[in-house]
Amino acid sequence: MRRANLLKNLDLLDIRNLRPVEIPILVSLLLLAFYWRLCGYMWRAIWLDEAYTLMIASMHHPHHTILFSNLYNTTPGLYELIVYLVGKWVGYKVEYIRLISVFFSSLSTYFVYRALRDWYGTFAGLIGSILFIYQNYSVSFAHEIRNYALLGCFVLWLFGHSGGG
Amino acid sequence: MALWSFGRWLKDNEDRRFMILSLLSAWGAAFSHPFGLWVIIMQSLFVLTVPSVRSLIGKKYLYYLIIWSIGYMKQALITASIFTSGLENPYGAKSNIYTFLYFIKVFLNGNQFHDFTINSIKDNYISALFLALLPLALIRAYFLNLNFHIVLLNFYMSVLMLLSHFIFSSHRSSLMDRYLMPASIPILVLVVTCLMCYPFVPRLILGAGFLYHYLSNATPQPAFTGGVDELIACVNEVNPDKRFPLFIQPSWEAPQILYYYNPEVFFDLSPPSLDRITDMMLSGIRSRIWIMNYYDPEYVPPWLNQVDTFVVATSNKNFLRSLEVDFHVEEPKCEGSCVYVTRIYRRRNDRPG
Repeated sequence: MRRANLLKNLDLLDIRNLRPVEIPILVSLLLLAFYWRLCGYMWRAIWLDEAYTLMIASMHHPHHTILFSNLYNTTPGLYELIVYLVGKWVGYKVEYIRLISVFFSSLSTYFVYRALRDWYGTFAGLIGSILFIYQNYSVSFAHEIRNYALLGCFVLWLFGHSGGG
Repeated sequence: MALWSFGRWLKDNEDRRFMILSLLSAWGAAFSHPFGLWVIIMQSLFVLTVPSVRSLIGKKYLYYLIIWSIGYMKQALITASIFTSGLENPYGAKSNIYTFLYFIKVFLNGNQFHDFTINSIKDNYISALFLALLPLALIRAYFLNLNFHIVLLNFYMSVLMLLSHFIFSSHRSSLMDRYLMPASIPILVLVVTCLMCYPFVPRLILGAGFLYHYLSNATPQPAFTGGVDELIACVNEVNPDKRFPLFIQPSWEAPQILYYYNPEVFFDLSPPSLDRITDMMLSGIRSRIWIMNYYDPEYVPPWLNQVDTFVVATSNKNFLRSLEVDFHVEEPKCEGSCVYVTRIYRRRNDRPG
């Protein structure tokens, strides 16, 4: 089997790749991202799209949630399914459900760090993750009960996972 | 899935599983949303412009692209006919090169999000600096062999994706700020990638400058709102004990109002169905909440004839005029937000018949 040298195997989920000194750095970055995204996450009430997500995610069965998502919502129903599972567990209060987007947006910090660190080194990872933590655009969508934070997180994970140098 | 499987196909280019998975997921991305077309565009550009990738999978990719195109043909015709129909998208906006520069500025914290004014386009030094650094970084990465394919992949994922979105949106209104999320993070990755293509001293100076600019403009902003909190405050002020029935128009605005005003109706799943808005309409009638799209005196809830006062919550001022045939408006006690209007109506006693 011919193996390409162009893209090396890069597993962003493999934390054994990290040096011990990087663990506290990463934990600090993740906490900083989470803290910054918690600022003002309940400043405003839900709006139309968020209400639709809650409506779809509060059905009787998970397969109803997925069916409704696919039939009416034009986006795949993974986020709604996650909201369904969390909602059935802790309730559908906005203050709990919005934490899902806050979580995924904060988690993206890890993937920014790992992708850039594996491509260019620790310095690049650090700069990139700080830029991401304070990006106003990402913070705005970390406050929404929609799938955008999840999309950003997955794009980074899979993009970094597949495009490693 | 489409990004991952394509990457895995490049790694294990003899393994057909990843090629098939990449093909299926590229279809999936394009069918689930028109924006998903970017996946196949990006893949094709990547194969076309990186010689090592071309030599690796070039011939197979040609067959792959032909099969993908055959599978997508019907949807392509539908998309093309909508795109060239001249009909505008009510949810999207038109764009131009200034919108492109504005969003680059937003992603680089040069501007407050949702502040699209002429001032936000002016003094766009940060976008200018970034766009000036980018070609130099690309050239350096290519000639000095500094992970050129990664720089290119990031470039396709962010700048080119944005540019194509704005070019298409200039023809038919389809610009949605939230659809730019898959480009907003790769653009930061591209900024760092760009910096890393420069020698140490310029990299340090530019990095410090970017960081200073970025952090000094960072503010946690609230998410977008339709003003439903102000509406609910108004409704509760004019109708504190829910003594009067509530009219909500149009029906598609009902969920976020009901979530706060009457969660029992919002979460009522009896009987369970896949049409939640109709469920809410039926459940609402039982709770003296009438959700409708237009007012027709022939089709009113049975309790309406027994009440002479009700509260209206609407984002459509024209709708209020249709009510004024049978009802007259009380002086508004509370003006809602810019989106919603709250009014108290009383039945007319002077109407003949």
